[in-house]
Formats: sequence, structure tokens, C-alpha cells
Amino acid sequence: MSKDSDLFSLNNTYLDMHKSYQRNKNDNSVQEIMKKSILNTDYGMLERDPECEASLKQQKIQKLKEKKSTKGPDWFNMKNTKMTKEVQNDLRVLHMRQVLDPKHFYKKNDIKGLPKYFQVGKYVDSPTDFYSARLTKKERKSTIVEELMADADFMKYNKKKHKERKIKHIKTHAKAHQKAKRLKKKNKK
Amino acid sequence: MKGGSNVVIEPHRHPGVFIARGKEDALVTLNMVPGEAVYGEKRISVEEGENKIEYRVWNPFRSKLAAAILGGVDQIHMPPGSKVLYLGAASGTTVSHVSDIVGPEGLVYAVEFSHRSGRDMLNVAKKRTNIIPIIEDARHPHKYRMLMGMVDTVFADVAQPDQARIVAINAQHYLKNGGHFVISIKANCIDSTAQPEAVFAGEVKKLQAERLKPQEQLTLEPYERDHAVVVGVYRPPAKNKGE
Ligand SMILES: C[S@@+](CC[C@H](N)C(=O)[O-])C[C@H]1O[C@@H](n2cnc3c(N)ncnc32)[C@H](O)[C@@H]1O
Repeated sequence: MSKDSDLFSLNNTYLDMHKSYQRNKNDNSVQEIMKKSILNTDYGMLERDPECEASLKQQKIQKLKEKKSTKGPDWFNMKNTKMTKEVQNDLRVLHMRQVLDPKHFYKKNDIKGLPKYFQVGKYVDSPTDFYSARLTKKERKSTIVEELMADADFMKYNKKKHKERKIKHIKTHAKAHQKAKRLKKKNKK
Repeated sequence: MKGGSNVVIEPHRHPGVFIARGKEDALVTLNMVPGEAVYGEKRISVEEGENKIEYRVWNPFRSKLAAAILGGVDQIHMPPGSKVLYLGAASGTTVSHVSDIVGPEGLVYAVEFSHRSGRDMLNVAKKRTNIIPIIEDARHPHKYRMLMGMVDTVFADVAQPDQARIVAINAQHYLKNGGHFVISIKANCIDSTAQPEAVFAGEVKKLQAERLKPQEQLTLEPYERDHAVVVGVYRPPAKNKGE
């Protein structure tokens, strides 16, 4: 039996790893291996693994970050959806929707600014729905803005409003123009 | 809203509740059983990476709690994780939304004495593990003590003239001190000859006598006529006057 196996024999129920290292002092092979490790000879004396400690801290930071990127448990951790151009446009349209549909009256606008936490979803087709309760394949779009553009009624209304505004603009300007002309004449006299 | 149309889901002021904004706004809850509607309500699907999330539209014309929320009630006292005793569960329409709101970590004890409505409610509870269905008369809360634990909130919509008393005895048995109650009062169920306002005031008095302290009252117009919801606290801890 070699010395080493003696050391680990179970007759001697007390094992001291530290001592075992000292016994091997003359044997450089362990030291060679340990040289490149971040674990030094005092490792066995430490109460906690410094590496694990660091990762615990990292974990905490990670958790905090995750917490901040959701609305929290009171809203089932709703995520902070990435803001894309399309989504931003949709949110803007929602913000202005009172002016979009003349037949629909909204309560006072309760949408303040762009939301921080939100998700983008789609109404599900239900098998019990009438066909009139579904958008046709052609009407189906990936954003609210595109949906509006595909809505013929909306486009017609929008065009009409645009024209009205243009005419009004011309009229008011014409009035102002004439007034200015008259004033000029008066001043000349 | 038509099938296929896009919406943006945002958290509502009340924990566990959301709003779907589109051409029209809708109150919605996170569906505990994605892919299934309970009473033919519309659903909204959200794709978030791999996992699919679904919301269910909550109709204020079919649920007094939804009407109260849209009417601007300050508190409903049933955030995710809370335990709610629901008296007058009927076929489980509103109960299903409360089940969504309190979520997998919460519990809804749903009491209903009509066997016919109760059968539908049992079917709802089969798929939703956080609902404990109780087919009993809410006038005898000791009959269901084996199924119960203490709760954070009692909700009542039993539409009975003795509703205040029913709530009081259930509170005595199962509502923790400082817990809350939310009660829907249908005026003509209590007294069809009196003015609704007088009926509501009378009910509030009855509650106060039972240490159920009302904190808020609102009517459910335009969703329900002559209906009020009263929200309050049970045996609030005494304020420290020495300080
Ligand atoms: C107005 S409905 C409740 C509707 C339900 N809250 C909803 O929003 O879906 C009233 C229900 O209370 C039940 N009810 C009346 N008295 C009761 C009692 N003493 N114990 C249990 N349930 C009762 C009735 O059977 C009825 O289904």
C-alpha cells in the first residue's frame, strides 16, 4: 500500500485536505497545476468561494435588470416590448383616433404619451363568429396603420376632410389678401 | 372588433387587469387557459417569442365588476396572488375573469346555490385550478368550512334582500381582519318601492353595523340601471392614537 492510499483509508475517519497538501509539498505536480488556477493554497480556508460570490452578485444585478424590464408580478411580468417604427406609428394613431372616425365618439383621451409596457396582439377568429365579424384576407394587415390604409371608408373620409381644410385655408387667405389690398388703397389716398 | 384586427395591450391601473387599445378599447384579462373562451367572449393573441399569450375581453354589460372598473372604482382589492371568496358565482362568467386576475398563485372560492348555474360553473372550475367551486347556500358558511381558508377579499353579487347579512356572516368566518369587501347592490332586489339612493344608503348602514366599513360607493351607469357597488374594509386595525 502506498502512503497516499493510507491517508484516505477509512480507518482514519478524519481527513484533512490541507495537511494532505502539505505532505505532498515535495511533489511539485500539484503546485504546477495550481499555478494557473485562480484557486490558491488558502482556498480550503475560505468560508465562501469568491467566484461564486461574484456570480451571486451578478445574478442579483441580472434579476434587478429583468425586474426593471417588466411591469412586475402585479401584471404578470408584462415585458417591455421593443419600440419599432411601425409600433410607434400605431401608438400615435391610437393617440389621435378621435379624429379618425366621425361615427365613433370616444371618452376623453386617456392615453398619455407612449406606453412603456405593452404588447401587440390580434383578435382571434372564433368559429362561432359570423363572417361579417372577421376581417377579410385582404383587410388583414400587420399594423393598425396599414389596416386604416386598407379601409376604404376611412380613406374617403380622410380625403374629404383634407379637401375641406384646403378650401378653408384658401378662403381665409383670400379674405386676408383682400383686406390687405383695401388697406393699401386707403393709405394711398 | 373584428377577428384579425390589431390591438395594443397595456396594463390597466388595477393589478392583474389590462386594456386592449384599437379602434375601440376593451377591458381584458390574461387567459389562464389559452385557446378557450368561457362564455363566447372575444380573445386576443399575442406572440412573444416562442410563448403564446392570450387575453380575454371582459364585457361590462355582462359583469358588474367590469362595469365598476370602467366606472372608475378606486380599488378592487384582488391583485395577483390574492384569495377571494366570491358569493353568487352563477355560471362563472365573472368568476373566470377573477380567476385570470388573481392568477396561478391566487385562489377563488366560488359559492353558488343554484344547481343549474352551478353546473356551468363547475365546468369553468375544471379547467381553472385556482377556482374552488362550492355549491352551497351562502347563508350557511359553516357548511363549506372544510373547503375554505381565510381570504383577503369577499366579493358578493347574490341579489338577495339579506345580502348585507350574508356578507357579514361570511366575513366573520373567512375574511381576515383588515381584509376588504366588494358588493354589488341591485336596488329593486332589496326594495322595489323605495328610491335606489335610499336603498343604497340603507345597505351601507347595515354593513357599518357589522364592522364592514364602506370606503367607496359608485353606481354602474351606463352598464346597469339602479345598481351600486360598495367597496370597504373589514375590522380595520385600530389607529394608534398615542402617536
Ligand atoms: C346576479 S347573479 C350573479 C352573476 C355573477 N356574479 C356574474 O357576474 O357572472 C346572482 C347569483 O347569486 C345566486 N345566489 C342567490 N342567493 C344565493 C345564496 N344564498 N347562496 C349562494 N348563491 C346565491 C343566484 O343563484 C344567482 O346565480
